[in-house]
Amino acid sequence: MTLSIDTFPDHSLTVLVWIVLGSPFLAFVLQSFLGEKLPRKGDWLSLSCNAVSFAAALLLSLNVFSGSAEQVLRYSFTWVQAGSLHIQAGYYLDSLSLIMLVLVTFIALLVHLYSIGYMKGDPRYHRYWAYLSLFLAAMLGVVASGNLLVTYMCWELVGLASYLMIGFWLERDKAVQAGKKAFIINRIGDLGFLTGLMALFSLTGTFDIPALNQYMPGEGTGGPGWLVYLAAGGLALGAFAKSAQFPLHTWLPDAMEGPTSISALIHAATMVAAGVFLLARLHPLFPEEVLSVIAVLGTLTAFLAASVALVQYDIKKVLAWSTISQLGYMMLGIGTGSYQGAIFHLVTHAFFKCLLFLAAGFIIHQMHELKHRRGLDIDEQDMRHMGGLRKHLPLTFTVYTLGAAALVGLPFFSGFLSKEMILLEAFHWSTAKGGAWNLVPVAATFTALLTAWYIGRQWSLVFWGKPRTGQPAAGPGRVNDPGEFDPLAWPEGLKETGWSMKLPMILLALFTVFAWFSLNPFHAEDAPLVRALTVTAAEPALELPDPAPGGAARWIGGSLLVVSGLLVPLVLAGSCRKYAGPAPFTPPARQHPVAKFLYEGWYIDKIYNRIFTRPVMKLAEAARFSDRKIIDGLIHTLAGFGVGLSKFIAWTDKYLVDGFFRWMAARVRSAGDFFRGFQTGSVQQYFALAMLGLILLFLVTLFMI
Amino acid sequence: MLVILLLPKRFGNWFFLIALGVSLVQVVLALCIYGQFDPEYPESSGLSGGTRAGEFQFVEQLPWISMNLGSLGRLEISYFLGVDGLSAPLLILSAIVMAVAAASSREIKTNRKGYFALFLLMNAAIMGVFCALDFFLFYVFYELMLLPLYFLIGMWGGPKREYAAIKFFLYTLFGSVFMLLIIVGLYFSVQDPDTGAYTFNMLHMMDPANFTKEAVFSVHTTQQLLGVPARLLGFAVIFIAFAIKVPVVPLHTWLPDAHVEAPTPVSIVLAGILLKIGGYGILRICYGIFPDAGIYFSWVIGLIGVVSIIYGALNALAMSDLKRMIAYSSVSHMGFVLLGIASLTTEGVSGALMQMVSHGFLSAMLFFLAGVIYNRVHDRFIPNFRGLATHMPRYTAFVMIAFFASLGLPGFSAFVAEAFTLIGAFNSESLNGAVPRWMAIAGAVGILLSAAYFLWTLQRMFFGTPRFKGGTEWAGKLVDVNTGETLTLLPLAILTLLLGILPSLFFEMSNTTLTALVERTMNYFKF
Amino acid sequence: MELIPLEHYLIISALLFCIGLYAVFSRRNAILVLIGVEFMLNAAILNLVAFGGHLFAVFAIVLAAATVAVALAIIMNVYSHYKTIDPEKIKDLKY
Repeated sequence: MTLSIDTFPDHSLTVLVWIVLGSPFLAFVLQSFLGEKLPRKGDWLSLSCNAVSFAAALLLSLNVFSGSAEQVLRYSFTWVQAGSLHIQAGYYLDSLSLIMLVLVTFIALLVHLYSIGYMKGDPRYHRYWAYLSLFLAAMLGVVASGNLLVTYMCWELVGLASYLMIGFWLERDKAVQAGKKAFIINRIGDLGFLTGLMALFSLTGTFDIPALNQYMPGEGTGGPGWLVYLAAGGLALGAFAKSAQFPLHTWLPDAMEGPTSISALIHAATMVAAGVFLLARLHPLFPEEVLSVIAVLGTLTAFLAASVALVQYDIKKVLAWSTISQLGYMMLGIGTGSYQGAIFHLVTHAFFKCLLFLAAGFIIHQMHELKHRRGLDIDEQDMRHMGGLRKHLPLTFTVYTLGAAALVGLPFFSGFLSKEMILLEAFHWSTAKGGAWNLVPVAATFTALLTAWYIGRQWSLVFWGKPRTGQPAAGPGRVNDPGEFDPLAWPEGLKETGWSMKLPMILLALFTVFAWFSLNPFHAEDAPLVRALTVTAAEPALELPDPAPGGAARWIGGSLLVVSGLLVPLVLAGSCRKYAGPAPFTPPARQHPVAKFLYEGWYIDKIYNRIFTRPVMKLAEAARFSDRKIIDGLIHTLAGFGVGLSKFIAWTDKYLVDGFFRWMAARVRSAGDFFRGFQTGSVQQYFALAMLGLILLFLVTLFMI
Repeated sequence: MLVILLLPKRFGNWFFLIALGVSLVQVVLALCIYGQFDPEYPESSGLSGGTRAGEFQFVEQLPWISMNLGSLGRLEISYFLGVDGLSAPLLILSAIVMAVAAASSREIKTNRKGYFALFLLMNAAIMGVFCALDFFLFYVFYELMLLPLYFLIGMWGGPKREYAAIKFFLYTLFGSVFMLLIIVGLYFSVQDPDTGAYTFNMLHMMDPANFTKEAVFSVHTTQQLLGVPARLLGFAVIFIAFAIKVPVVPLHTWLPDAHVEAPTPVSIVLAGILLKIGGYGILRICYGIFPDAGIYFSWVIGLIGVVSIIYGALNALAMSDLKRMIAYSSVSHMGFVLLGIASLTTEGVSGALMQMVSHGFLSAMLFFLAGVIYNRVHDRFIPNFRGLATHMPRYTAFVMIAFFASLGLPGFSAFVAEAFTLIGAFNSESLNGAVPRWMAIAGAVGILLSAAYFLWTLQRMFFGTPRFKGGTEWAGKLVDVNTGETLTLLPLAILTLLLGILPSLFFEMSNTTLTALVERTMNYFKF
Repeated sequence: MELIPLEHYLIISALLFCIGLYAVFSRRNAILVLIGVEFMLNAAILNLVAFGGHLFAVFAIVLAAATVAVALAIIMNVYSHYKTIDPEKIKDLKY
């Protein structure tokens, strides 16, 4: 590290941070207004902004990690002030968020590069880049924000980017539906997050993350204890939705409808990890009971998702379920108090899962080309149509193998280090608690075997055996004649071309090996990454008693090593053998019930549909009915009553009140009839009468006076 | 100063331009008010705070009706206008929404003279309502606003316009007639501290010291009216009058009908401004004059708010008419206003006021957007459209902005408003016990539901491959938004974004007043 | 010259008045009725002269001339409308 802290006084660090955060946002704004008019539709703009952001993040973290390890960058200004509520927007960068910053910008940079090749020619190319920049800006906001409310805002924006990206091909109904589902399930989580926020504010009166982390539950007179649980539970719910954990995991497999580059960036490497990041960032806030629940649910998710991945045929679905499963491991890490392990796994997972997705995307890309050139009627994502691709896509094969090895956790690969760390901590944790808690790490270890099985299955189905492109697809009437062409003859020109796609894969593949993370291939305790996290982190809220003396720990570690060193490769080999052959389509009716159960993701989607979606729609219908019939009915009844009353009044008016007046009128009229007899019309008669009257008057005055 | 009574009796097609011009002048004036508004007015001007006219700015007071009634004393009604942090944001909102409504009035083809005359009359009345500080004057403006609306809906509306207009009119009149009784009761309870005469001055009504001892609504003695404490009854009656306007479940059924049948500009005014008069009235009058009853009823009001949020959202989910869906979403969003007010915390009340402003912009935008479709093909049934995104991309962009802003996406004003409302409501239990915590959580469920109905609509109408009920004929008619429409929509979108990113623009204005309001209410019993 | 005593004036004017009254009551011709009215008017004027109101008398005579003109015009119109000037036959004012 040649850069020393002196060369970067504080204010220039601030500038760097703003460059990191601001440049993707700038790209988003420019891209959404000008994207269509820019040359090459502005892909270079997003890419270069991202590169700038990455460079700044790298510089920043080099600077910080080379200086004092405790250095924390903070900056804040009052954003909103209403009553007692002062919201300080700003950033709070400790080693955790710095690592995340670098990770996110780096992976995003690679995916940007990859996307240039992958998305070429899409009619909404410029939108793609705008969304990508939006995502990056929001994600960096989540990572860097020092205020939980601001984190929440960015958190939702990340969800928006995810929604837009899943439904990117908006002519596809399934894609749009998947986007909606993702957004709504994330909203359920956000509901929890918001509740947690409100509870926290109620307890502490602040949203400042460092201040919140110093708040010790149960201490002082902060309020009733259940609020702490509410806050922790709510935040955990938010994290579970974002990180696709049981019971809110169902959106992630559907999210695979989006472009594969997006699946790699958002739905594998970065966004879904935001939940884990959030829990890690706020870990001092969580009471032990909540952490235990997180651990159990994480393990359950890991197991569930791995079991579902066993039977999927869609190449992306396998990876999606695998992502859920690996996120379950991270949650287990969080739950057992080893948040360093969780973040470590997050980092390694980000690299290898992103790699796997990018490679899968490349394969799909090639299959798609093949399908078009050959006029085949196949699903380009179905692994049953693949096979034997190692000969045609050697580079992809190599990087995929490396990624898979890391995912399985073979020794000498990055996944081993991080997974081992989590499992070790889990064993420590369960020995301390004893009893049925021991099931948790055992199940997690068993899940590691499942992982080996499904990824081995995928690897063999895709790369080994013979090409199955001519294989008839499922369903009647969709039979392709395999005799039409030689399946082994890969069309000319379909080679692994395009450095923009190859380079990211190669770079990511480099990061699957152990050496980048820890010099000791079997133990991660000394990994610089973990050390950095451990030093700056506040002590965990709950100090676990050292459960096992050194011997026991070594024993557990040793057996884990045996498991991953011997058992896992065995399983892997078994699965590879089994699936290297033909992969026939089985009609759904003939599927084994267990396989079907797994294939449908334990029927969780269907159950949700039945117990949530439909009742809500029914409730909505009921609300409409009540509005139309009951409330409006009441109003109409009232109106009818009013009209009836007025009719009655009208009747009385007509016959009683009006009757009286008409009687009066009749009397007046008859009096008038009498008097009109005098009106003869003869002028002379009138005159005579007038004279008569005059004389009468005269006489009266004469005699009265 | 603001009330521009310019009724065009001139000729030709100038009415539209006149109305638009007047509205734009209003916007400019409103912006001047914003520019000159001093957020820390009472302190900076050295005047004492409290319920004096000193809290208000741009005050204008002229004696209007002054009659010597012999033994009854003097009847004093004054033309008393003023603006504070509560009414100023709403005034600015009204000016802007009015301009938008005027701009969208171009669709009106029949009897333009009558239309624009009524439109401007309504405009004047609305501005008056927000500025009036004399209760009688307030009532006059309040009723004056009703009449043009009745005709605007009844004469230029949709097929069921008469039904809708009558329903709307009767609902509102039902509330306001009883309000008049309370106004009279208040008049005989409050004395002007300077002259000793009875007064309609709202500011005097807000000061408990001005109530006479034996009066009906006296603060000092608990008078009974129909077996209920009189002040509670007074609060309840006025609350119902305004709650109809807001509207709250179960007094809301006029709203979908009126919105659906009204012509687009009137829908915009209805949703954008009229509903806010309800919220404004509750804050200014109900809580201003009867703070004790307000505290007493806050639980009920919070409950009504929550019920409105969820019930309105569920209804919106079930609607297949775009405008009706938006109308019910208004019910749902205005529920937040009630919840925020009921929380009696500064955060909650600020959130409620912000929600009113934000909803004003957003609902204007939503109704305008619904009007765009309706003007083109005279249909707005959601199932009749599909794939509009590919057919009308710019229109869809605006719809997405409006929808996402409405469902509370951060970065837009509604998010800040709803977050503040909920935080206030949640906090209320520990601060003053006005509203229990579960109401805040239930309100948050409403946000979830709003995501559901907006996204579902988006999915049904805008995504997928284009397919319209009217076939190619519709496809030809459904052209993308034109420049005029863009110019109308863009300011609204920018405003909602601006308020979402820099909410302090708004809070700076309202903070002092609302803090004072909440403090006054909470300190009421310490008198 | 011996002054004519007041009684003579009064007697003549009463006679004139009575003749006019009779004419007004009994004639079947509107012009003759008008002549009767003029008689009565002249009786009144005579009284005015007898009591010394000469100026008033002159006024009244002028007025009478005007009335006659107006009345004759009315009669002309009545005739052209009803084709008769018999007051008994013109009974449009009857109820």
